[in-house]
Amino acid sequence: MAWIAANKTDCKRATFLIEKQQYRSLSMGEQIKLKLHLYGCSWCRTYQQQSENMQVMIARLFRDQLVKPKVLSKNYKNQLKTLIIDKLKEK
Amino acid sequence: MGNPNLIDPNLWVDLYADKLYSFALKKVFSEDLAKDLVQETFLSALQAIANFKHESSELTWLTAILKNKIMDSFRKKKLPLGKVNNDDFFEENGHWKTKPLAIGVEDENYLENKELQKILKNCINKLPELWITVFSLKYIEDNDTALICKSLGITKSNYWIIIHRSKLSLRACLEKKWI
Repeated sequence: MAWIAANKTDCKRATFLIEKQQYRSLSMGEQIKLKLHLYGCSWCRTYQQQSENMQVMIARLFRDQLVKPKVLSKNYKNQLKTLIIDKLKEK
Repeated sequence: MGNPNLIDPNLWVDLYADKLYSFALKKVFSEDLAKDLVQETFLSALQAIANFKHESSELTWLTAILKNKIMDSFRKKKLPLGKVNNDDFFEENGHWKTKPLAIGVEDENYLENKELQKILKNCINKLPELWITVFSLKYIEDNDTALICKSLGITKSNYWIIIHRSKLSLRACLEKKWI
C-alpha cells in the first residue's frame, strides 16, 4: 500500500483537494485520500480551517466591489476629456 | 432636438465613463487596469467613429469595444504557469516546507476585522492580474466562466491549479503581514 505512505506526506495534493472541495464535490477516491491525510496531518487541518475562513472573506470582498458604485475621479475624467479633444483636433 | 443617434465624443466622458468603468471592474479586479481599459476604449472608438452603425446606442457600441479590450488584455497576459510549478510552498514529496502559522482568521470575529480586510485586499492585488480574474470568476455571477476560460485558452486542470495557487499565495501573504 505505497499510496498510503505517499498520501501521508502529500500536503500539496491535500491542499489542492481542500480548495477543489469548496467549489464542487470530490470523487470517492479523492474523498478517501483527503480524509486519511487530514487524519494524520495537523498542518493541513490548520490550512483547511484557514482556507475556508479566507473563502468567506474573499467572497465578501468581491461582492462588495460589485455592489459599491464605482466612479472615476474628476481628475481622471478631465484627463480623458483633454485626450479626446486632442485626438479630435488631429483629425 | 438633434438626431438622438448623433455621436459627440466631447460628451462621452460625462455620459459613459463611469458606466464603462463599472463594467470593466466587474471583469478585472484592478482599478488601474479598469481605468486604462476605459481610456483605450475611448481612443479606439474615436478611430472607429466612421464604423458606428446608428442601429445601436452609443453606450452599447462603446461597451462592445470595451468587451474586446478586456478580452485583449486577458490574451496579452500569459498565464505565469511556469511560476506555478516552481514550488515555494512544498517539498518534492509534497510536504509543507514550513508549518502554516496563524494568519488572522483564527479569531471568532475575524470577519469584522477591518485591518485584516485591508491586508487581504492588498494581498489580492499582488496576484497576477489574470489569476485574480480566474479566481474571482466563482464569486462574480455574471462573468461567463466558460467564455473567459476559452478566450484565455486555459484548460480545466489549469483552472484548478490557478485556484489552488492563488489561495496558497494569499495565505502566505497574510501570514507574512499578520505576524
